[in-house]
Amino acid sequence: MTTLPAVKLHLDPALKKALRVCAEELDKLDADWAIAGATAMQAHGYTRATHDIDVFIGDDVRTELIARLRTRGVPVNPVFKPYHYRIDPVARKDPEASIDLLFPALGVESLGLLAATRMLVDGTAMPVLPIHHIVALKLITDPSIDSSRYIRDLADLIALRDRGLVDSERVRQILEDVRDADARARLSDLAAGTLDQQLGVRPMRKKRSTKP
Amino acid sequence: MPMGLAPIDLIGALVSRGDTLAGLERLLQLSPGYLSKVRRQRAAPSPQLVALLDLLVQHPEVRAALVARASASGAGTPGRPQPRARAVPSSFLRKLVLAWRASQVRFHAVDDLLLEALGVPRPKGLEPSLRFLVHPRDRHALTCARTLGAEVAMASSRASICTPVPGGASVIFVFPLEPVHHLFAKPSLSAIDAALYFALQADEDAEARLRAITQTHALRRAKLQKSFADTYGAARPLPRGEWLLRATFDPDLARERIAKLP
Repeated sequence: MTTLPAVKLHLDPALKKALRVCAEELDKLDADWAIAGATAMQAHGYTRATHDIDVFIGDDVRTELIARLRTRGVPVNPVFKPYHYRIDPVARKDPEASIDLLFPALGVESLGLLAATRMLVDGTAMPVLPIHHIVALKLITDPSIDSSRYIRDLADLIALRDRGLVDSERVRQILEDVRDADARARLSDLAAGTLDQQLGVRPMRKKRSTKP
Repeated sequence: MPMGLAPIDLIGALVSRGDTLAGLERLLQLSPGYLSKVRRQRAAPSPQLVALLDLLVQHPEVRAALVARASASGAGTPGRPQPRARAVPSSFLRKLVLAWRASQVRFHAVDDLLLEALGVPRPKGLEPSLRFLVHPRDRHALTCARTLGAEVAMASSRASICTPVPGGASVIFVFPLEPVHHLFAKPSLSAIDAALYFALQADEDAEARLRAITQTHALRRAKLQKSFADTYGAARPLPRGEWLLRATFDPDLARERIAKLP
């Protein structure tokens, strides 16, 4: 029996409870789903502050999942139908603690759902989006369309790269699959360190050898 | 219309739109005959009342927010009101829109409030939806909400969730994409503005709202197609990968929906 990698969540207990209910219902529905966002990045080795959990879910179970969750007393509210719903657990103490249920239409998210691997998230086996897909998703953000999200994604990308979590070849393959030439160009800039200037940070340099 | 009109002019503007003094007095919970006195300059209204009158002139779509029926969890069946905990308090909405007006926040109420302002019955079977469009450069709108004691989540996102009472219902503030910003230059949204707005939203409920507006206001396909071409014809659809943003602005979908109208 293999042991799954484990992730400990430092989030509102009500949120973790709601996540377990979601996971249970998603698995009962045999859905394609995966944890994404900051929680997935944490699972892969990069932790940053977050209050919420993003979950990508195949659209085929959307209606049934929402109905089942509501039946179990989990409040699911639409943000942008039919793609984005939100669970605000009733008993939460942190007002920003929530689960974002995202039903992607196409693209990297769908590829990521198929490639997700199970990890032990707070003691429960749950699929987590692969790190390469997380990187690819952040590279796809177009600065001319959503500049504020681009800046946030850029900060994550630089942090992931500096921790050795960006495998350029794997990410490039994903971006080729979705035919996004702009994102591929941004990947090259990320690897070369030229994207860092947009955040006003200097790229990390390798230490010089002290040997003569 | 600029801020700072005299109370008598504000009352005149509302009456010219079809309001009666008695109706306004009921809406604003004033003593019978009070507005008549104000109109004849025999009573000096409070700054708060002037602000409310000004709000009604500038934002007729928030009228429903000023009365107790406003609710994010539905109007409920007659005689069986929804539990208070699941409703966005009308007092909060009133304070919020007044604070926004004072802080020069550019906004429009959409969804259920907009339908109500246009006299369109809410289509059957739709989930209630209480949301405002807010200009993305006016994010201090969130500070106003917090100052009133509300919790605001997703403050830097395309949509922010405002919860006035912990555990209660929420109101959503949407910061729309640039092609929609021309709406903020308008004092109020017309039936055509509203129809085009709903046509652009990916939400299945938006299509029902679009149909309800076109039926109530007898808007024909050709007229909407022309208005759409004039207003959004030059706007390019978002890339397919931007599926979440396309939920709020999808010109291709809008053209399809309008083409299906009678």
